[in-house]
Amino acid sequence: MRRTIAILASSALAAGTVALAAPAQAAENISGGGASFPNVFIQQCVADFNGSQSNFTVSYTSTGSGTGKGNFSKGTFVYAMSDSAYSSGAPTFGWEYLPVIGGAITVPINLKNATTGRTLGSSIQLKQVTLAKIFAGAITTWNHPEIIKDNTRIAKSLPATPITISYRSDASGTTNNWLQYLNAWTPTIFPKVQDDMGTGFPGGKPPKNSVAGKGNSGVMANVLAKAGTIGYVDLGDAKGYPSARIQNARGEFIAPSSASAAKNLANQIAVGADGLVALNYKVAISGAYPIAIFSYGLARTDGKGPNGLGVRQFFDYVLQKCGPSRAASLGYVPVAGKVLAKAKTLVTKIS
Amino acid sequence: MSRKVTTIRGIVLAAFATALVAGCTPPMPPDVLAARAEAQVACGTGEVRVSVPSGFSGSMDSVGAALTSVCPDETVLEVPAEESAPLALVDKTPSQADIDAFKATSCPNEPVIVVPAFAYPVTLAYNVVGLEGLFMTPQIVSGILSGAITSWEDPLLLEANPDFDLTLLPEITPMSIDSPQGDVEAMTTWLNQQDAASWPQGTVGTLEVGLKFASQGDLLNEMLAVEGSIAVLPIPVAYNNILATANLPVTGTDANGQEVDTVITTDDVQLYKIGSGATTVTKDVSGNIFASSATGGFPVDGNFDIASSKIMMVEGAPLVGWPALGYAHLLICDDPAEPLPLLFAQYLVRLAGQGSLESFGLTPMPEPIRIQTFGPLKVVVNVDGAVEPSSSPVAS
Repeated sequence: MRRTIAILASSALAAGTVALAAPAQAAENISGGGASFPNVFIQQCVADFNGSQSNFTVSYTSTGSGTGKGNFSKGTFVYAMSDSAYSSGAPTFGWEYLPVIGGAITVPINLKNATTGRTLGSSIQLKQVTLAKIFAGAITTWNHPEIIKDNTRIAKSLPATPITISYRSDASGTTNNWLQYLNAWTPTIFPKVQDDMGTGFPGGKPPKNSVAGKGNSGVMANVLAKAGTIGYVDLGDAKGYPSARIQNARGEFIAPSSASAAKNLANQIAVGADGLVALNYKVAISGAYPIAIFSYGLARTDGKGPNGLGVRQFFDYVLQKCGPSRAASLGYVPVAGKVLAKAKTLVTKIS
Repeated sequence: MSRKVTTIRGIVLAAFATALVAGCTPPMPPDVLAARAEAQVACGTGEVRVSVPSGFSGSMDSVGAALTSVCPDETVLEVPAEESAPLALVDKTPSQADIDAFKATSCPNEPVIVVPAFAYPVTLAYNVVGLEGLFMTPQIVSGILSGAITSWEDPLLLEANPDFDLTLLPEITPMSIDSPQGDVEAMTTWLNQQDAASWPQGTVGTLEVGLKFASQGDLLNEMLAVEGSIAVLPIPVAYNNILATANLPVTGTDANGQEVDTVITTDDVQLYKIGSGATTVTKDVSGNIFASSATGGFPVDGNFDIASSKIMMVEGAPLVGWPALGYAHLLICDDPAEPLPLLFAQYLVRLAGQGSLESFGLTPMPEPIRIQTFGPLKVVVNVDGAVEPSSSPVAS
């Protein structure tokens, strides 16, 4: 019935008889939420989707992946987004993961040359182990010999500014992927992979030189607030802020961007039957930024939740329309290739 | 090769849609309406050949892959720029001679449509490991490109880069391509605009100093082998080849009257988008559209819309962008019997086509310029605003 009314309404629009059109039935609300990593992108898709049809009104609340997963299991969210898989508390009803968007985890650094005032963040090159030692609290100043070793041409400009680590206070898929990356390269320093960074640090507690922030925007706010602070956020939340060049598996120091993350994700092809992509953080592709991830939609497949049709239409729109046209401009990477093919199959199961 | 058009569905003119729905629904942002209007794509059947300069090899394939995902029967084949094709990408603002040459070889009996396709930032790229982000004033760039500066320890370079250690480096070795290049045109336009005294040659497509190569591939092969080598290149090309890139200055007054004297870094793609608005758009009597190299960093009034460009800026930041960008253009043979080139061009200027180019590392056209291309590309205006949100099987 909803569909018939929508068609009638559009016909009326075409005929230029707006004032005479029968009032459309109120759109069904579909509320979702979860990961902050894709928030900038999903909010755009929500606006576009809501403008493209009149049957459903979708909303999205950035709560962090952990809350997103929990609320989806409880049914508080009709759909959710998460950057990480359930470790516990998965729904007891029929559901699935759906890779819908990719992006880079950037490492913004608030650092200037004290003498010249020049921003140094985007000139700093960091090896994987150096990055791990910084986040473990083992390297605590910006002119530490290990940092200088990979930055000899700006060595004299690196100040003795203390390093402050900004990390997520809430359960976070961004954190989970961040720990996956650190664990892949430095398993003895970061042996645990989980959504909680607070207990994910070596020794199970945050270093003294750390500060927590809620959501990726909170982590970024900490970076902006204090000189010497380093964090890990999505490109959208970094808003073009100077970020480190991270060494990839070929030994190249690569700046984060949609294009360099796309090179990485184009080679992440281990997509499982459940829709989860097993990321290879050591993918050896020239020009590929090494810390790139997928963010997943969580949707019911049992046909027993509210507005399954609307959720399916929304995620299909995100995959096939919003991703190609909006992702790159917002700092994300549209799903493509083998992962997209799998996602297209999975989206048809949403009900 | 079949070139039958299977489906042609129009799009809604955003402004019209705005007026139409304003009376009965809450207002939607213009970019949302634009997305709604562009949700329908005109598909063809067959393979369209696109000639592509070597520096942008792969760019049309990226658009083609996105197009094929929505139009499975339509594919794209890139061919070298030297080969004749009914659709050509050129890396600069085409001259009448360029258009005449295309017409003679690829479109003798039909009109040629010309529109901008995308922008691309250019800078000096160099092979010195660990020296990312040197600051280069117009005087320094002019000095290097004219052969007056040959040492990394030149006083001008040292003065501009107190953060860097420039000692014990091999001499500067300029390299360039021996035929006119859009990136060199953009860079020399910027140099002449900023300091005509240091670069009196004006806009040129080729450089006289240094080693010459026949193609960008040859140049890059040599650059990667010679430490200290330097060349004008599109920044995405430099990034793809892990070459360091120079930061450039912007000085002047932005649209809000804010005085600006800043160094723009190469690592923020958002700044490329803003800078791409610093272009002059012209139309010829046939309605073809030409965008000049975008130089200076300050968008020209009417050529840039920050909201629709999705720029995420720190609050209070001046509206300035990268100061030197070239504009690539499409030359399209408008043959009604062979519609695929036009259909491909129509898709390339859609949000999805521009998004594919951005994912590839290029800079999408600012929205006001992109919308202008709909005219010469004959994008059909359809007053029916109904858009299917899903192309998957959906049961009601």
